Amino acid sequence: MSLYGMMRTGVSGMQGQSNRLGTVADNIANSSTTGYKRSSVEFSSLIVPQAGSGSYSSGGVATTVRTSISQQGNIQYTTSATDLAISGEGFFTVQDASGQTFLTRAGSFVLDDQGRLVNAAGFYLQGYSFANGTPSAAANSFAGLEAVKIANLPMTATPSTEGSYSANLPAAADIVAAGSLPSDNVAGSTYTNKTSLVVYDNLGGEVLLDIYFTKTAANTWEVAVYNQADGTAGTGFPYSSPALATQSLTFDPANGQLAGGGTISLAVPGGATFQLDMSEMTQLATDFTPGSDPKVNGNAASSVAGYEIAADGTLYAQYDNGTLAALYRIPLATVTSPDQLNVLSGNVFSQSALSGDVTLGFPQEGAFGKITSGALEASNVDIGEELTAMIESQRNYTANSKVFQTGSELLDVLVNLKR
Amino acid sequence: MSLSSALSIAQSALLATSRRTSVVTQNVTNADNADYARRSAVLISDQSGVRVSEIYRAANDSLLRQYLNANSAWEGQQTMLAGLNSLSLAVNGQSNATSPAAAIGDMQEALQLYAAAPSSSSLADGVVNAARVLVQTLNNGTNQIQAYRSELDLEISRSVVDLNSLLADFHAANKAVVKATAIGGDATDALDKRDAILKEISQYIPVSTQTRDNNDMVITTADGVTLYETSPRNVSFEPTSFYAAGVEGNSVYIDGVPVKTGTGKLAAMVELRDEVAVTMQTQLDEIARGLVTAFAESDPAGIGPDVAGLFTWSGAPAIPGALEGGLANSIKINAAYDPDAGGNPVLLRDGNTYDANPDDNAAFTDLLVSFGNNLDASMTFDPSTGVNTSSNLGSFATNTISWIEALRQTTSNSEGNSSALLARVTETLSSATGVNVDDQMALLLELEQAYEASARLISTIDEMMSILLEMAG
Repeated sequence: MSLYGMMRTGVSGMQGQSNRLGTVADNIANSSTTGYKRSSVEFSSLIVPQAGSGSYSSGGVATTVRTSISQQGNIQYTTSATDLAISGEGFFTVQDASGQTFLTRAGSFVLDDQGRLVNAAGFYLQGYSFANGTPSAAANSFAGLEAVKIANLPMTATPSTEGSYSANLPAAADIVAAGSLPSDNVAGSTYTNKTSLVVYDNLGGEVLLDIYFTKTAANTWEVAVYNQADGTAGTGFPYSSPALATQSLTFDPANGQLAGGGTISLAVPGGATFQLDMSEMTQLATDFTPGSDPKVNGNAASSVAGYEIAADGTLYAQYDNGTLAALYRIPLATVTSPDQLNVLSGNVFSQSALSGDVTLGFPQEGAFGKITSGALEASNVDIGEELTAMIESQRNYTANSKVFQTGSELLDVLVNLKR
Repeated sequence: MSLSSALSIAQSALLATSRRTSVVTQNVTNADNADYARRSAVLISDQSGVRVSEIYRAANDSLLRQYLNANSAWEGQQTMLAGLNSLSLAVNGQSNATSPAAAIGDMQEALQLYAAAPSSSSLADGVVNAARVLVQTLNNGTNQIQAYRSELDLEISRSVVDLNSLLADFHAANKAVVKATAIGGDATDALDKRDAILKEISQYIPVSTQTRDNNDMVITTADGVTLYETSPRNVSFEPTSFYAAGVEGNSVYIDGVPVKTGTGKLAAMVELRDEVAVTMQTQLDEIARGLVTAFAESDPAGIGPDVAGLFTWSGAPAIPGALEGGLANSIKINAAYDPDAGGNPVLLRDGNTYDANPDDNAAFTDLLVSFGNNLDASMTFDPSTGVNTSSNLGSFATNTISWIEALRQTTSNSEGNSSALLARVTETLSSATGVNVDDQMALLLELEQAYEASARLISTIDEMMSILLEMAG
């Protein structure tokens, strides 16, 4: 029996090595495939129970294929914002055309004709939409996920609701007598200083607010706000409609800081109620000096200029005035044992009995890694390692064939004993 | 991981080096561009090698601010100096040869000659001729001043148009900066353009700037009037087509606030138009009033009022008691004295309205002597002339020359200073943000070496790979 056994052992060795060579061939073929995870073969011995201590029956070798799914590939930078790479743990959830959900690390997404993000293998990226408020991930199911779709976004405009303005008002300015104050809105009204601010109405139109500062008494200033569009050409006064707001600012003579009247509330013509914060105003003995940053929120009608995907997986639409609007949040999925996932065509993985259940979460939360936009995760195959493995397998295969050959020759000798 | 990742790291080094080389090339080609700020590539290393994370633009806000201030100051003073030069030349002539002061001197001389020989009618002609030259000088001076004011008005109007279009350009450049900054793009070119426009705006008006989120810039004038905030503010000006003495020009309004005098070209032009030229006109008017007053005839009987004599004006026969706007334009030779208009110059000796020499005595000099005395007597002039208000007419006319010369001298000095300051600030700004070709060339050599080293790495790794492949084969 032992000769046949030895020959079968040689065959099992050759089969094992050819399995290994198969993985090497796949690895080398996919050494440039984005998101590919290298496979390798682990051998384990098969021992036949021995009849006695004097004889030996050879067993063989069993092979197990391992895939290094949890091993990070190199991050390579690209110029496309929709190329995504995961640094750290986690998988993108993607769906094929038939609606089945898979996991992948291949993030070379592009827009398809419907604006969906599809990767090179034809899988659609899934995410949670912001359409119904800020989404949260369902920890253990794919429920609530939909294909990320970024096309035909409408133009938007946001009315201004709050802003701030600060300046130093000249403490030594002359006091303007009542009767020709800006709030009186008469021709030739006298003011001490003037500024203007752009705010946005409901349709995103620009409304210019003329803001007049007038010293009415020691440490007391009047602020009058008018809509510039109502003004007389050139000088402003008189305006065809009354002041949008008038307010009295009082300053503390001890330090020149504002003592009262810091917030002005006014209704923007055709817009929302606008709160102007003037709490940083001062009255010191120097010239009128505007503060460092007048701020107004809201924006004019603007169209989408591009998309940005943040490290936390939020996909923003970038409007051409610089504002961002969150559209989707891309979750990451993981399993207890990523290396045990089923490997399928197209660099995707699916849950197997050994891998454990899928858990979803957002990037940078818990154990999940971060998403880098404009980068791809390269294959984790190293050609040098594969070539060495190939040479090693080749030698082992030859050695195993020698075992088989030797068994065969011995059988020949045995058969030739009888003539 | 080893060989493959070594290869990709060496490749990233090649990419980064070529990107840096393109930055150096851009710097060198823009070495002569004053509005270009030097770029440099910022490298970061990560697990897959090295990459250029951003292009850094060598900007210096505080130096730029100093440049803007120095530029406005110099432009303003230069405009002022050029204006004073042309006003002085127009009114007083080359070396003050055709100034009213010179004409008054000639007039006094002719009067003295005639007073010495009152019987000579040709000497009487001489006085009237000298008076005619004087009147022409005053009339011309007025015309020149007013013509210069209309010219300035036109220039202001052109500047306002230019300023509005610069602000519109600034709006476009600022929007490009904000957009590029917001989406994390390359804003460097737009920033260069925006700074260049800002420099041009500062010629006209002194500006101060504030920067908001996303590099959004707000411009205010030095007085704190908003010039640009989200959108450009309107700069408006209503030109006046005709100027005469006493016609006031319109103000330039920025965002509804009139431009005050200060630094910058616009303020200098407004100051020339509304102050310097107006003061010069007042001075001429006062010289004319002095002449009408000095040659006025008074009733020897002491009954009738004083009436205008040799020099008459639109309000004749009354004598103007105080500053009369436009007098230098309306002053003329009384036709009764003017031989060209059929008059008799001898009336100068005898009197026109009131006959001071009823016997027609050929040696009568009382009236001529009194005119000479009047010219030498101290008069009171309007304080708005800006010169000594109490002096005789000849000194007053000389003082007006001193006044403009002094003004010219002061402006010339400060123009020299601000020009030197601007040159220094420009140089400092240029060395802080400009391109030094030597540095760039040295950097280029380094880059060449780095590129060569990376290429050598790649070929070495390639050789190692082929050794492996040979083994496998």
